[in-house]
Formats: sequence, structure tokens, C-alpha cells
Amino acid sequence: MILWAAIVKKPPMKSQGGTTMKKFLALILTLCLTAALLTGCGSTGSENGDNGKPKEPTFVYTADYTPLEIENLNYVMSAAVAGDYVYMAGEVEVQVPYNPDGEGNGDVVPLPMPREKVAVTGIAVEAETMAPTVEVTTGGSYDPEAPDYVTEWVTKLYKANKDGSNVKEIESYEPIPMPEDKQGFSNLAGIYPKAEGGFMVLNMVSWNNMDYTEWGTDYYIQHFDANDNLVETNKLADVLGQDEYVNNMLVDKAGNIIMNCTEKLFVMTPDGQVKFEVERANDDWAEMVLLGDGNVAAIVYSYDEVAEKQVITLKILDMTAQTWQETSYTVDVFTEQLYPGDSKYDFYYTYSNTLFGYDVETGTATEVLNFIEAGVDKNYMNYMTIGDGEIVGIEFRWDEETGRQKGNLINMTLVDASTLPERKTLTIGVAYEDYELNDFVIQFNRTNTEYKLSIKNYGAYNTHSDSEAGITKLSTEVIAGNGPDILETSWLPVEQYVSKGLLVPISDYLDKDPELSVQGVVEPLRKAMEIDGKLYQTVSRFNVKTTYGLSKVVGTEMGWTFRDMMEARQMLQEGAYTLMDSETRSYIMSEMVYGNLDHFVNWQTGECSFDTPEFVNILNFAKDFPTEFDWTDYEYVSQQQLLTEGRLLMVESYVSNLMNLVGIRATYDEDLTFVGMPSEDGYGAYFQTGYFNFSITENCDDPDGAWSVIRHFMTQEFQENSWQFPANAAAFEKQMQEAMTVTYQTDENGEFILDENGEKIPEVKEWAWNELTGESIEITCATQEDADLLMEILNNTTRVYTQNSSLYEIVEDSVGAFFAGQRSAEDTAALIQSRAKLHVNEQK
Amino acid sequence: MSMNKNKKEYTKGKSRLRDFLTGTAFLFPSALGVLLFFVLPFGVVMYYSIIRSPLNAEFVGLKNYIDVLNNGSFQIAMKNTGTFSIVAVPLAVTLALVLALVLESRIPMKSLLRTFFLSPMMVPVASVILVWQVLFHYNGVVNGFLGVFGVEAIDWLYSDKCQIVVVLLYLWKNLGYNMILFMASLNNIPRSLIEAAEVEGASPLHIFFHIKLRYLSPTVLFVTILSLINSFKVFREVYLLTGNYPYEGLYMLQHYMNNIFKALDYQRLSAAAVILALIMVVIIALLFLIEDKFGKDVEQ
Repeated sequence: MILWAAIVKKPPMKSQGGTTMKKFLALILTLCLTAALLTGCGSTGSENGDNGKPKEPTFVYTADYTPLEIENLNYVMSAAVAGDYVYMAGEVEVQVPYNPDGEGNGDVVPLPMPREKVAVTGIAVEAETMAPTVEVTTGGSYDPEAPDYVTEWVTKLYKANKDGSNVKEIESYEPIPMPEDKQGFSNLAGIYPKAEGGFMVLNMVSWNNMDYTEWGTDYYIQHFDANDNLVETNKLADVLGQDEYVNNMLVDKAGNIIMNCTEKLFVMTPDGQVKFEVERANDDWAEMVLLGDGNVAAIVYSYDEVAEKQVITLKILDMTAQTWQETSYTVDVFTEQLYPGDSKYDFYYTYSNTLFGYDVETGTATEVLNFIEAGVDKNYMNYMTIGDGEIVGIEFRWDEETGRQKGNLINMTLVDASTLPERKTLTIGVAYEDYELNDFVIQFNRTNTEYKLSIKNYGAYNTHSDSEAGITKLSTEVIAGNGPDILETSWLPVEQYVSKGLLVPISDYLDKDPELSVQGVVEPLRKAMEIDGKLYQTVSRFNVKTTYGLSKVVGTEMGWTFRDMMEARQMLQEGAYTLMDSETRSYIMSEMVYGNLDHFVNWQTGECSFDTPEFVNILNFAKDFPTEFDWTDYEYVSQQQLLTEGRLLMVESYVSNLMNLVGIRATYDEDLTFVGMPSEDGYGAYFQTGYFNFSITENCDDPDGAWSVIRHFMTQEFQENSWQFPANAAAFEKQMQEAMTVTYQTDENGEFILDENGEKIPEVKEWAWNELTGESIEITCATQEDADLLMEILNNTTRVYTQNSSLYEIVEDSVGAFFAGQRSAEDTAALIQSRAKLHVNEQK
Repeated sequence: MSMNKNKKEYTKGKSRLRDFLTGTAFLFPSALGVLLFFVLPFGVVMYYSIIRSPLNAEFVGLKNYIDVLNNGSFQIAMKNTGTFSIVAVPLAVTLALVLALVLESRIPMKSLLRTFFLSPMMVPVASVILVWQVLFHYNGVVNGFLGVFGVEAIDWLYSDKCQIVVVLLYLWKNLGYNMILFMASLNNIPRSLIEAAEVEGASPLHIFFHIKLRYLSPTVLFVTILSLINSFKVFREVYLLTGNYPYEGLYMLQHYMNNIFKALDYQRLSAAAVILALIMVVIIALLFLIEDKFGKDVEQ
């Protein structure tokens, strides 16, 4: 009130000129400072959209697939878009008469002759008459009476509408023939549209003379007019020395051919004459790319010795000055494949599942397209061309029905997101990419109308100095509530996440599921994976890592202690091996300590047992092994032989299915015991689960939806064809029954094939190799005894392998001085105990 | 007369108000910064320390505090940090004061010695650590030197002698700065007082304890607080020397916090941070009380 009174009663302010201005400026500055501070207060979902999930752009890419109607096409090696057409160079499978003396023949197949004239390396024949149209240059004679034909692959050029329709072969194209008296192969290296219409085709011919004393590569450029007629063929100037090679080539919009060779860059005229050459540092690797403005640039990879890091620089070729432009640009991105630029970006590149556009001036990379979200599996795509928002790709997949590769032309176009059917997005966070998961997501997105899956690969955040940076980022996002809806947990610290309440127990969903249940997971595995009685991740397949030895040496009980192991070793001859004949200290440490760290820790009580005599004995035991194995005079002796002769104590084994176990047993004439690694509690084996372990995070807005997606990986349908143990109990039981049932060979009509005695012939389910006798053992089925043994192994396996990098680092760091003889085993054990206890107690 | 008085008071009041508003305006950005970057985060930390998890904001009372106080690693970290501070801080203050007094006296090469003691401040920690690793490695220079006298090699960083290395490192790093602060403060003591005491036959010890130390008490307090804060920061050097999990004797509170942060245990991290803040507040309050008792008359 007093303040207010003072303000309202003040007399009119006298103009004070400069002072007032100063005050005004001071006020402005104050406001600016305050505003600057406020910039730190963003809205909750500012960058990534609400809840940190990727914001839906206004326009998104969608993919339209058109099957490529080209008979016997194996793959497309090059393609280009010009106007409304797509030009494709494809490798086509044809059958030609078998030439017994010829080079490069494939499998002999009695198939009808192809209907058209075909050209092959060194041979061209008239399909109808079988008469050679060019002289046979591959050596030997050609026998037109030969009854069989061989499969050959020829390059053909096709033209189609951009939507994949109306595919036609460009008849005027013919592969460049081999030089006289030479053999080798020719390849189409690229197709380049001309601005004035028509296109150019770059061909490469690699040859050698018959006795391999001379070799080389010739390049040819073929010019086609707008009507697809071959106008002329020019051989490029021979600029390569004997041991030089071409890194990559491109043709610019003026038709100049830029050849990036071992040490130099050659620029040639459209008729193949050298225009000029530019030096390039000998030890630098460079890739050429055509920029959006028509300039040719090289992205040069070099190593900065001072900064000790790789430097990527973009240099632009000055065609007028015939040298590099003075200004070069640092490119600070990882690239996999470069693509020419357009009016939007200087160039494009792919990395992982993303296509980026790059602006050279600003050095910024912009995400243009996520292939998975667009419904394209980049791993199947063998060609792609980009231009002003239009992307054309060609993919090839194996078609089970036809038993051949099947090609699709993919048109990726930008569409308004609002015109697409509305779907909820569920994000799957992965530490590492998996092709099978990518494929699943793409197929899911093509068919599911309610949900759209998106994969976020945190592995992309790993750096050279921090290989776990991606996992750290993932963990931070999860705990901040901005993480993905679903996690693929194969490489993630699940127990840690669970203890922090970050994961939803999936056992709750299993209990409610009409088809699946908690009890429906193979029991020993389920028990090993449960945390406080609940499952937090799906599991699809597993195997058991264990060791086996002869029962007469290692005993008949599963599981043993280090003391037991040392006693068993006494029964073997002097100098016997423990795990294999080339074992080293690091191998022993890795198998007996690093892979077994959990055995020395009680995570519940926080107790560690690294300072026990057992651990001290293991250290002393490991110290006796060499740091490096001496391979001089090494002679291979099979583990079977070593074990049988008492020269090896135990063999490491990954039991993946029942037949696998039967195969191991069948190899030996003696009884085996699956003892596992020595451990105090006697449970030295562990489960390994593969990919497709999924968890639902607490911050998932739609856990029911997430469950509806990940439950697929726990179904019998998904798991039953696995070569490993299925985690689904029904699928597991089915696999067991199939292994224990004799099945018989049938012919193509489903009729049993009978032997000379009229008996059905059993199908061989597993082959084993007896290296002592040199005989292969055919196994037709498992017995009940095998199945019982397997169940005993599974029931004696109580934990799932998880890597604890902190414990590993503590032990590895501490044992160095011991192995160097600077610290006793007891002191080392005490040191590890001291350090490990800190870590274990922190986790309590 | 009364009119004049009112006008004067009005002008004075107006001036005060203007000063207040100007001061507030200039203070506002800083105050906002402190609020945003210190007060607010501390509030968030307090909040995190009493809930179950960031995704499950269930109120759990003091559970996280009890968990932290009962945690074996936290107890070891507290013990080590406390021991280190109790040993290193008094040493850093006392030795810096002694050095300042020595450099204040008439000795040759004062400037050179001053530079010598300040030089550790200029060296980046990472490179210093490399030197210290070489010095205190099992096959290092120190063991080599001691070996000359028949002393058996000591595993300095992985034995009970580990804190000696860190105390030495801490003193080496901080003595110079503390010394400069004391030297500046010593220069501010009125010469007339010392000269008068000398004329009256006071001994140098008497002058030091009854005049110099009394005048230095605010600086002693400041240096002590600074040294205490720096003693908590010694984690950086220990971490570079021995990593996340050092020998038990070098495991400091920041190790504990750093590790549980990496383990995503934000609740216990927050509780530990609050406990540490409380301890710091208590220690600093005690130091203020002591300084208040011993140096108040001098300040007045």
C-alpha cells in the first residue's frame, strides 16, 4: 500500500533525456535476459510430440507395390527413372546347351530351350536352331547334340511405366562381348538418363587371358536415343594400370563420365575420351555423388592423425577449372549408400532404416523417410532412385510357391497423413536391429487396421567410445516416461527395469488371454525368467548352455563344484585339457568366471562370495593357462577323440532341441553326464533366449493393444517351426513328440517309399558324425530315455544368462595385476569381493 | 519547515522505492535463474525422494530415506567421504595458511614459489591423473623410490593406503588456491595493529593467534567451506583413477550417487542427495557459528 501510494502520488516525471533512455534500455535488456531464461521451459512434448512419441508429420510416405512381370528375373542390378518411365537392367536366368569344355557352367538341368535369342559369356546361340551366332571363345568345343542344358544368367535391359506396368525389353541392348581370347564377365554398371531424351548405359567387362597372366577391366558407354535405339558404343579411354581399380563411377547431367580410381579421378567426355584428371590422396577413400545443383562431389573419408578420428569431407569438382573447388565441407554423419540430390536436398543417403536428405551449406541432415514406417523392408531392396519427393525402389524376395526370386516395383509417394485411415501408433524400442522383426512390423502394418507399429532403434545412438550409449538413452527415456510402448529386451537390464516399476507384468495378460497362459510357458524356463513370481517379458525360443563329460570321469550327477571338477581332473592323464585343446587363460576366465558371475553373488542378501577358497582356486587354476595359444605344430584332434581318450575333461554344448541332444549322445559309445560349469550350488547350466523377448512399458498408453501385438510371439503357431526349443509348452511338446515319432519317406504322391524288402524307409531326422570311426550316424527318432534326460537337464537349469557389465568390469580389471604376478590370488579375491560388494549392495 | 520535511521524506521515499524497483528488476533474471535451476530442481529432488518411482507417484513417506540409510554401500560411502573430509579439509586449511605465512615473510624466490603452488590449478585433471597413476602404480615411481630404502612395494590404489593417495592429490590440487586467499586476507590486516603489538613486545606467536588469526577468521571460514565442497568433489579424481567401483576405501558418496543414477534408481538418488544437502547445511551452519563466536568482534 505504501509503495502504491508512493507511486500514485509521485509528481509528473521531468524529462531526463539520456537517463530515461538508459533506464529504458536496461529494462529491455532485463526483459531479454528473462525471456532467454524462459526459453528453457518448453512444453512437455515439444520436440517429439505428446508423450515423447514421434510426432505424425502432415505428409507421410506410403508404398505401392507392383509385381515385376519379367520371366525368370533374378535381380535388378541398376535402374533409373526418366520422365514417366523406369529403365531397369536385370539378370535373367536362361537355359543354354551344356558345353562340357566351357567355363562357368552351372548345374546341368534338362529344361526346354528358351524361346528367344540369348547371349551368354562367350557364347550366343539362336534359341530355335541352337546354332552359335558368335564364335565360342571360352575354349573347348561346342556340341550341338548335347542332350542337357545348363542354366546361365544374362543381362537384359527393360523399360516400364513408373507404376510398373507395361514392361518391355529394350531389344537393341546387347551385353558387350568378351575381347578375343579372353574370358571373364561383363556387367551393366549404371543407367543414366539424358536431359535431351534417351539414356546412356555404362558397361564393365572384366577379363583375363586363359592362363591368368593378364587381366584387366574395360569400360564401355552405350548411347540410346529417345526411342530406345542403340546409337553408338564407345570404349572408355584405358586409364587403369595393372593393379588399379575403379572405386565408383557416375555420369553427370552433361553426360560427362566421372571415374573415381585408386589414386585419381578421371573426367571423360560422353564418347569416352579423357577430358581432365584430378589427384586424390592415395590413402583416402572417396565416394562420388551428383549434387542437386548438377555439380559432382566426392565424399572423402580420411583419418586425422592429430585428432585421432575419422574425418568426412565433401569436395566439389569444378568442371571449368578442372580441379576441386577451394571450399570443402565437413560432413558429420554416418552414411551407408549415397543418392543424387534434387531441388530439395544436395544429396540423399541411407543409414539404418532411414533415408536422409543432406544440405551441404548448413551441414544438416533431415530425415526424409523411415522405410519401415512407409512399409518397405530396405534389406530386400536392391535398387532405389530418388527425385523430388518421388522414390522408386525395386525389391526381390524369395517366393516359396514358385521357388524363385520375385521382384516388385515400389513407388513411395508422399501423401497427406489425414487421408490415411487413422491408426494408433505403438513404438517398439530395440537395442539392435533384427531383420525378422522389421519384416514382421512391415507385414503387420500392411494388414492391421487398428494399430501401426514403429521401430525405434536405439543402437543407432551407440558411439565408438560408448557401445552402450543407445541402451543408456533408452533407459533414460523409459524412466522419464517418454520411452517406447514395447521393448525388445534381449539386451536390456530387465531386472533393473522391473525393480524400478518400469515394466508391466505380462503374466497378468497371459492369465486373461483366451489362448495363452502362464502355465503355457515351458516350466523350467518360466521359473528361471520369473521375477517375484511374475513374467515381465515374452519368450519365443531358447537353448541350454551346458557342458558334458564321460560319466565315468565326471560322475553321474548333474552339477558339480570346482572341487569336484579338480578331483575329476585327477582321473585324466597328465596334460589333459579342461574345455578344449586350444584353451587360453582368457577363455577359461570367460567360461568359468565371466559367464558364471551370478554364482558368486546373492542379489537378495547382497552377499558376495568372491573371497572364498573356491574362487581363489579358480583364479589360480586360470593362471596356469597360457595367455595365447601357440598354434605352431597344432594338429586337429576332435573333441570326441580327446574326451574318449581321457585327454579332455568336458565339452561345451548348446542343447537346442531334442534331436540335437540325441545326436551328441549317439556320437559316444559311453555314458555322458551333462554337468554344466562348476558352481557352488551345482547349477552350472543356463538358458539362453534369442530375439523376440518383448516387454510392455509402464508408460504405454494402450497396454492391451501392445499385448495384442506381442502375444503373437508366444503363440504355438509362431514358435512351432523353430529349430530351437519353443518356449510355448504346446509347441515344445509337439516338437518333442515329433522327435520321438518315426516318420517314413514318401514320394511326390505322398506314397511311402519302400526298400528292397518292401519295408518303409524311415526319415533321417538328425545326422551325427563319429570322428573316431569316420562314420556318419543317421538318427530317425529320439527315445523316451532321451526325452527324460532332456527334461532332467532343463529342470537342472535355474537361471537365464544375463550379462552384468559392471561385475564383469570389476573382475576383469582386478585380475590383471594377479596374472601379471603383482598381486596374490587371495588379495585379488579380496579386492574383487570389496569392489563387487559395493556394486551388489547398491542394487539392493 | 514541516512542508520541507515532508518533501524531503517524500523524495527519500521515492528514491528508496526507485532503488528497490531497479534492484529488483536487475535481480529478477538471476533470481529467476536460481529459482529455475536450483530451487525448482531441488523441489523435484525432494518430490522424487518421497515417491515410489517416476512412473508410479505413490507417496512412500521416508521409505527411500530409510533404504538409503540402511544401504551398505551408502554407509561405506558416508564413512569414506566423512573420513576423507575430516582428514583433508583441516590439512588443506592449515597447510595453506602456513604456506601463506611463509610466503608473506621475507624469503627468497617468493614469486616463484607462489607460481609453483598455483600451477596445479592450471593442469587439466585428466592429464594430472595420468601422472598420478604413473606415480602410484604398483610398478610406479613412488614404489621405486621406496624400494631404494628397502620398503616393499605397496598397492597404493587397491589397499588400505588408498586414501593417502587421494589426500595428497587433493592437497596438491587445492593448496595453492587456498594459499592465495589467505595471502590476500593477510594483506588486509592493518599494519598499524601489528606494528603496535611489535612495539609493545608481543611475540610473533602472540601476534599470530591474537591479531592475525582473529582477522583471518572470515577467510578461514570461507576456505574451510570451499575446501569442504572441494573434498566432496574429489570423486572426479578418484573416478578417473579407479573407475565406478574403486577399492572400498575410495568409494565416495558421489560414486554411490553416480552408480545408482546409472542404475535408474532416481528415488534413492534423490533421497541420498537430500541427506547430503542436510549434512552440508548442518556443517556450514556449525562453521558459521564458530566463526561468529571467534571473529565477530573483528568484523565489527
